Amino acid sequence: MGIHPVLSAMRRDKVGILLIVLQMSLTLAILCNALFIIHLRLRDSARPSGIADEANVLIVTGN
Amino acid sequence: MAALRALPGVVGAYADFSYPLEGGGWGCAIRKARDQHSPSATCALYLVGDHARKILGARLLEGRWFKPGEVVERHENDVIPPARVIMVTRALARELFPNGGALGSTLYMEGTAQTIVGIIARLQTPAAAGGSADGEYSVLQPDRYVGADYTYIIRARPGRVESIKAAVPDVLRKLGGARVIRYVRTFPEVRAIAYRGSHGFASVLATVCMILLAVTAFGIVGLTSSSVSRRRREIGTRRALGATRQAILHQFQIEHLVVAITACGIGIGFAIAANLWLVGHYEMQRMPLLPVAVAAFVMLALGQVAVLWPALRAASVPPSLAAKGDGR
Amino acid sequence: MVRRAAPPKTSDATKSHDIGWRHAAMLGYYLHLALRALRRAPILTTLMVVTIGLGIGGSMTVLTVFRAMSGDPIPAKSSRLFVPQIDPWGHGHGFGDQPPDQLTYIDVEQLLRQRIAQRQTAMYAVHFTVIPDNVSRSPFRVDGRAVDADFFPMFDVPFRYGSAWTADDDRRAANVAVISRKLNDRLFGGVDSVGRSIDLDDHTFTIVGVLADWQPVPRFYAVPDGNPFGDTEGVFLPFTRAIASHMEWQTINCNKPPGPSWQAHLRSDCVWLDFWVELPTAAAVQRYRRFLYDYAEAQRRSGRFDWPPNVRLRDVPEWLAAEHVVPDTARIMVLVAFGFLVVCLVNATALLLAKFRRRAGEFGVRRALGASCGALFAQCLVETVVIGMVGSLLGLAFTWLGLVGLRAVLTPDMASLAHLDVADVLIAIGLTLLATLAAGLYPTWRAAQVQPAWQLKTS
Repeated sequence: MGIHPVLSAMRRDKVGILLIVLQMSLTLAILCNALFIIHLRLRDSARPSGIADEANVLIVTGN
Repeated sequence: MAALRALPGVVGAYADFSYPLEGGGWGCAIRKARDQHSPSATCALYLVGDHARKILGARLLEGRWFKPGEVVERHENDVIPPARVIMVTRALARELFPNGGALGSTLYMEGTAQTIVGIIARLQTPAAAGGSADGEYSVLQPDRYVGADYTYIIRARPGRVESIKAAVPDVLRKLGGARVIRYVRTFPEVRAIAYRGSHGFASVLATVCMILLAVTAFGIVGLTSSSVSRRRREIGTRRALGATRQAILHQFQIEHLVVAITACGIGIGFAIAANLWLVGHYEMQRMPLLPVAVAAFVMLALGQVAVLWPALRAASVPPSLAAKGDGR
Repeated sequence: MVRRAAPPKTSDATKSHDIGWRHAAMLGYYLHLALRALRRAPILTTLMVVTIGLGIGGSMTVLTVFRAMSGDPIPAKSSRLFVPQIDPWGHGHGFGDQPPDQLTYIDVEQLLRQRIAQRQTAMYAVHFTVIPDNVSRSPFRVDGRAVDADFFPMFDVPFRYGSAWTADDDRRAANVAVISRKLNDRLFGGVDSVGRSIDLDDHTFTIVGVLADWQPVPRFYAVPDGNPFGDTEGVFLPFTRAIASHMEWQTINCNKPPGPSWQAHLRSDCVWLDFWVELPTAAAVQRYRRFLYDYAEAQRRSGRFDWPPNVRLRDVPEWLAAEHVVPDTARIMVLVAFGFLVVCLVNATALLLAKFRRRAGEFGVRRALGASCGALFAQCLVETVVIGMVGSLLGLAFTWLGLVGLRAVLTPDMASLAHLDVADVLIAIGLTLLATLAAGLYPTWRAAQVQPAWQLKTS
């Protein structure tokens, strides 16, 4: 089966195809920017504090 | 302090006015020359006494730790004593001396000369959770902090953290006076609180992404099924002319693939444009290609999964319908 | 092919002279048709309603928080309250070209003395250990603010019991305090505590007033001290008293070290004080601007500054913008949310288009039976609006759900912003209406263009 029937079918519903292309491309644009921002946030929050073996450190504050 | 150090399971403790990831602390400005107008770098100050090595356990890269003889008392609003020793983080050393040679150099803080005697691998500043570039520009001083507002940094032997955490309030209360304990937290708790906003933001974004994908997937399902319904006659004709079920299935899959690839092409353009706009207007970095590729792959895969059900429906159209004449 | 045609007798043919009744009847009929059509295509209808609901829910959730963050904390007076800024350092000290966002004691002393504004208050954040009367209860920490008597009328601060202290108390540096409702509940069980005393650190203060609930969002008057979305302070006391008692500040910025004594601290170039003025008219604003400039110029002539006057006078909205009170993350979230809404709308448009196309046959029959393009348009529009209305209800439900989710992941201070108010609900409904129309207009118009004869052939 070739690509021809595919294209002819698509030509018949131009607006519908246009809308779904628009929707998917916007979704993609939002998705990868959001993924990138999430990645930056998680990377920042995983940075080591410089304190060795953090689990055994306690902080007490008061006045 | 002595009472805390005497607690069973405590390796060591020191008092400071702040600690990494606390949120707010003491800032400082460093000048390479005494009369320089603008500072060479801004930094965060820690007073660690001579216990820092044991308690913080930060990795020493060059030079040495503070000696007991270097420790002096420093009250809340005292001026930085002149001609003293400091330790800095590698990040700060590199910022100040990009070509090396930080160790042994003299810097000026609040107009007083300070000599770098040691460089540690890293120690985040109190405000590091904000994610700014100066998040590791910390300066350590060998002073013993004395003030009404206190912060004790305690290191416990492995496995003893919880029991010490439970014992600390009683120990401090027994010392008497109008002491207020604001909190006793393990460092993992400190970390979770410091990054709560970041994690919240990330999870909100992730949720929006999931819903966005779901909406798009349902849209594809809806549109393809409606297209299948409209084209039953055409499909029937093709089936009658000898097209296999598989061929029909493939037709819808390929149709959608063409649409999806076109959409990805345009979407990548949108994505890069959006990223560049964000870089121009907000504190944002240029996006590498990896998230774009991941997102495009997710979109293509999702599209194929979404199109499968209506495409299978199309494939199950019997050939007989073709007899009913020309449809559209 | 299974196609159910519309009922043969259409109300288009109804003869009536009462136009209003005719329209009402038509609307009822279209509504009936719409509900039937929606029931006939349950999957597509559900998808559309859910899509619109999610789009509205997502964008409204974010918008609600954003609106709370970027709202005007004191709408009645925000253009009459101003923050003067004076650069005591010259450029290049961490604030760029801008003067620092706080003032030195030297400058505040002058501004207070000159009394150019109708009302004015110096202030700074302090904190105390409260020692309860009842010995069995442990002492606790409370945040406070040292302010002048003008603070309360300037910011329209409401009182539950008592009132603000007087200008005379300011002059005498009196040991008086106004406490928040929360602290009053905690210490005195919510009864009128005016006239009773409160121990803060080692000072005893007489309570002259208890605030009613007062929580400006953002806490515009306290921005430089840190969290602009935190709780109102527990204690307010006279600025003069705090200075006389050497009360410790919370934030300070110095370009060179102050001496160790309190006097040296007061005479230093460190900035650590906030200052607000109320200027009721444009002329007063003009005069104050002039005064600030002249003041900085006088400091230059006297040799204290060696740079040209660098002063600002910002009202509340300008101040909040200059201090970046709304974080970038919130703005990015709004962008994402509206991108999401657009995707949902495009999706709804495509689905609606598909739905109407599938019913081209039904529309053809109705056209052939005499329905005008306008009638079909009206019918499709009613269908679209029904979808929009159901979508908007679902959207409100999703918004509520979204806010519950946000409260769980945000920091406690931010979480307090995640609540719907009446305006939010109205915005949501307006947004849905707009969104549905935007999504529905093209498919509706397309559906109404169906040719009558051509479609009849296929049935």
